[in-house]
Amino acid sequence: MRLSKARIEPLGDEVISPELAAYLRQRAASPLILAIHRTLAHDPATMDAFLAWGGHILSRDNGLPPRQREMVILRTGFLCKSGYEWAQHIRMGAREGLTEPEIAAIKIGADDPIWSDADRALLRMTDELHTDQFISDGVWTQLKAHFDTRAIFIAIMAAGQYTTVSMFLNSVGVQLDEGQVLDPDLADLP
Amino acid sequence: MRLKEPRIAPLAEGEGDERQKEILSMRGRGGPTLNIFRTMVKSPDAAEAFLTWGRYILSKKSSLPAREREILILRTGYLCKSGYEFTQHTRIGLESGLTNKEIGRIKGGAEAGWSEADAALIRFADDLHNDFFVSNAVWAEALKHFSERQCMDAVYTCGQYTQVSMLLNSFGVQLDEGQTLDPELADYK
Repeated sequence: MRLSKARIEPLGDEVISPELAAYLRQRAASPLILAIHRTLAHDPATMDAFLAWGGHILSRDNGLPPRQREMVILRTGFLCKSGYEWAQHIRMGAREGLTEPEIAAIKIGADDPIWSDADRALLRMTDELHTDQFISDGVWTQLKAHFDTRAIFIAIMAAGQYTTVSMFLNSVGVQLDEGQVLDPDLADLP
Repeated sequence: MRLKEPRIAPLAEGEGDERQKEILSMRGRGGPTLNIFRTMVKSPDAAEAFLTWGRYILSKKSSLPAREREILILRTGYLCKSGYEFTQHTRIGLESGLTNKEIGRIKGGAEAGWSEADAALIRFADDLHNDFFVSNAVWAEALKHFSERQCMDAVYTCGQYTQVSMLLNSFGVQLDEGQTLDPELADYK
């Protein structure tokens, strides 16, 4: 984790209305209200707008298969060194069909032999967007061989959105939720 | 510009179904529809959801004053080498109280003669671009001039325009009619 204590504390149960609590639990498919949501909830107008866009990226019918969406999110979170994002999305990735060896290989990247050509193109795209905010001609051609424009749009936006989420989690210092374990590769960051 | 022609062409003016026309009518300005919106609206559901968040960042719902917001956006667009973003926000920055001289200085960074508050914003954008984290020193400096809520909005703003740069650069969205590119931004590869 970048910070061992939050710079901005999450809201406690006493200030979250029962309606909002129910909505956030349902959204996260979790009995807990997540620390990220408790922190976003400091400003309801911000949270509504942010979750409207985030919700589209996470929706099941946006053109990018959920398993591959989770690959882009996990690779982005790992590259941005967000321990919180990684811990949340290994759970979601597993739910969408990523195996344990695949989740481990996301840390290694596109060159791991476990990946199909389509998966590899997405991981290369994520790396290029992280480093250069641009997809090179070579990787663009690989993406076009496996995905339509609608799916590529969402893949780029997923990389961008989870870059924003990582910036937020890292900088505000959102701490892990109960029951989560920090990945040792993301533990001791300055 | 990263690309001299688009990989994904925008909808032509007047093209598109009812839903796409309605989404384009909501983007809030008169005059011709910008290439970024005519490109995004090819995925109407995504465009609509994106605009909900984009409008928050650019509206008074965000706690950042417009001039300060534009410093963050221009610095982010410059660092992400998005000629389109920098060009669009040069206009919006001027409308928001930045001078031509200040916009030129954004490229020079935090040491280029800014007030302490403005320099803190540029360092904030630089930290997020380089490390996806605002360091303790820069966070403390920012809190001398801005509220916690404004600092959170500053993170969202830098993140949002990093995301927008990724799309503009990779789809190859070209400048709109009548715009000229800053020569320093011309040869990005």
